[in-house]
Amino acid sequence: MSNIPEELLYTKEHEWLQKTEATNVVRVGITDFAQSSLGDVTFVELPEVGQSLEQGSNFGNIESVKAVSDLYAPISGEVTKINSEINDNPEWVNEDPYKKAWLIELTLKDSKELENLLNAQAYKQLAQ
Amino acid sequence: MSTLIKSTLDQEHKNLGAKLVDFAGFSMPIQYTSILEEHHCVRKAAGLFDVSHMGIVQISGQDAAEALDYLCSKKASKLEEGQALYTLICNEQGGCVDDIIIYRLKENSFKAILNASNIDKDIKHIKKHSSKYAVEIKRETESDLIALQGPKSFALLESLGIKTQTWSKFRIYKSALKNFDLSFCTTGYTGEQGVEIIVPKDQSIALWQLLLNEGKKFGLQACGLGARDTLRLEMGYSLYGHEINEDINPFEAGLGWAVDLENPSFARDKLQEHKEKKERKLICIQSPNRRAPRQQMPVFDSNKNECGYITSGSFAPSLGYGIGMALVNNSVQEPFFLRFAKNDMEFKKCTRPFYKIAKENL
Repeated sequence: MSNIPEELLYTKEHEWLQKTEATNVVRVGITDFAQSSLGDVTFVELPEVGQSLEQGSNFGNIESVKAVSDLYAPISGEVTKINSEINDNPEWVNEDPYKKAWLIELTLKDSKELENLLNAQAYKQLAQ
Repeated sequence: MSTLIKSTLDQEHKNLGAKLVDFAGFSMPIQYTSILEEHHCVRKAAGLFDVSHMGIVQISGQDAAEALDYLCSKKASKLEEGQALYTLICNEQGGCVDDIIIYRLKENSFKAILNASNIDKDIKHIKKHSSKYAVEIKRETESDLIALQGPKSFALLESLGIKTQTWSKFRIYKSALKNFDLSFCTTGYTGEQGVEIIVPKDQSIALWQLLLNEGKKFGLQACGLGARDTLRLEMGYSLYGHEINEDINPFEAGLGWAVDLENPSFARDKLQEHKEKKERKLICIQSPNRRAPRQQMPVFDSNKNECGYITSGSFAPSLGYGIGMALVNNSVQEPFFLRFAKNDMEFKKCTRPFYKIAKENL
C-alpha cells in the first residue's frame, strides 16, 4: 500500500502539494505511488528559480532506470526554490518522497486553483 | 492479458515479491527489490535470473552442421564437441533475423538458444532454409534456462561440489549435482563470470531454491530482466529489436566479427555487399551526467541535422552516468547531440564495452 499523507493535496499526475509556513508558498514533490511505479530514480530535471509556471504545465522530468516521466505544476506560480541536493541524491525520491525529496517551492498566485487538486481520500482512489 | 505464458518459477517469483511484466508474451520478473540493487549484486557477488522465456532448439541429424553453416553467419561446423558459438541468422537481404548461441553437443547434435520474441519466427526460418538437408529441428519445451552470473558464481558451484576449475568460456558441460540432470553453459549476458543452466522443467523449482539458499552466503540475489538489461548494456551487447533487427545488417550493428564470409551461408553474397558498403554504423555514446539516452530518441550531428537514433539507452549503474548505443549514418562524425525539452546536450562517443570487468573476476 502506498503512503498517502492526509495533510497534503494531490494531482492526478501523482504530484503532491504542501502548504509551507511561509505565506503563499507551497512545496511540491512526487508521491510514494509515483516513485514506486518509476523504480530507482536516477536523474531529476528541475526548473530555474524565478521561472513562472501555469497550473498543469510541465516543469521538468524525472528519470528512473527504466522510464522518463514528466512533472506537472499542481498550481500556477513562480518557482522560489528548488531542491538542489536532489541530483546528488536521486535515491531520496525513492526513500523519502514527501520530505527529503521535495522538488520545488512555488508562490501561490490564486488559491482558487487549490480546488482543482485532490485530497488524500480522492487520491487514494487513483493510487492503487 | 490472461494469455501470458507463465514461467515454471512463477510462484517462486511471486513469493520473492517480484514485479512481473509482459516480456514477449511471457510473464517475467522485471525486478524483485530494485534494478540498481540487483545490478550491483551481479557485479559484486552473483545474481540468479530466470531466463526460461528464451527458446531452446535441438538441431540434429546427419547434415546438422552443414545446415547450420548454410543458415548462420559463422561456421558451426568448426565447433568442437562442447563448444559454443555466438552467431547471427540472417534473412535473404542480409538483415538479422536473430542472434543466437549454438552449442555443439556431439558430431551431429546441436542446441541453439533463441530470443524469446523470435522463437516461432526463427524456427520457421530455420526449417525453411534447411529443407534440403537431412536434419531435424525440434523445440525443446521440457527444459528451462536459469542464469547464474557474477564473480561469485563459480565459488557457489564449487561449494555444491561442481568442479569448475577446468571450465573455459563459451562451452557446455554436463556435471553431476545431486539428482539433477543439468547442462552448464559458460555463457551469459552480463559480462561477468557465470553459467546459463539448462534444467528439466520438473527440476527447475528445486534448482532455483537450492541455488538461492546456498547462494545466500555468497551474497546471491534473485535478479530480474531490468538488471539484465542494464548489465548487458554496460557491456555493449546487442539486443534483438534494439541494436539488430531484420532491417539492420551485422556490419552496421558492429557485429562484423560475428560474420565469416568464408562460410557458405545463403546470405553470404548479401553480407559481402554490406561489408563493402556500409550505410550506417552503431556507435556507443556516454552522457556528461546522470541523464540517460532513451531508445528511439533522434541523434543530431554538429549541424543539428538528424543523423540516426538511439537503439538502447539507460543510466549505467556501475558507471554513474547515462550510456547508450545509436545507429547513425556511416559518414557522420562527432560531436553527437540529443535533444531534451530544455536544451541539446552533447554526448561523447566511447568504446565498447562501456564497463570493463576486472580481470581477477573473470
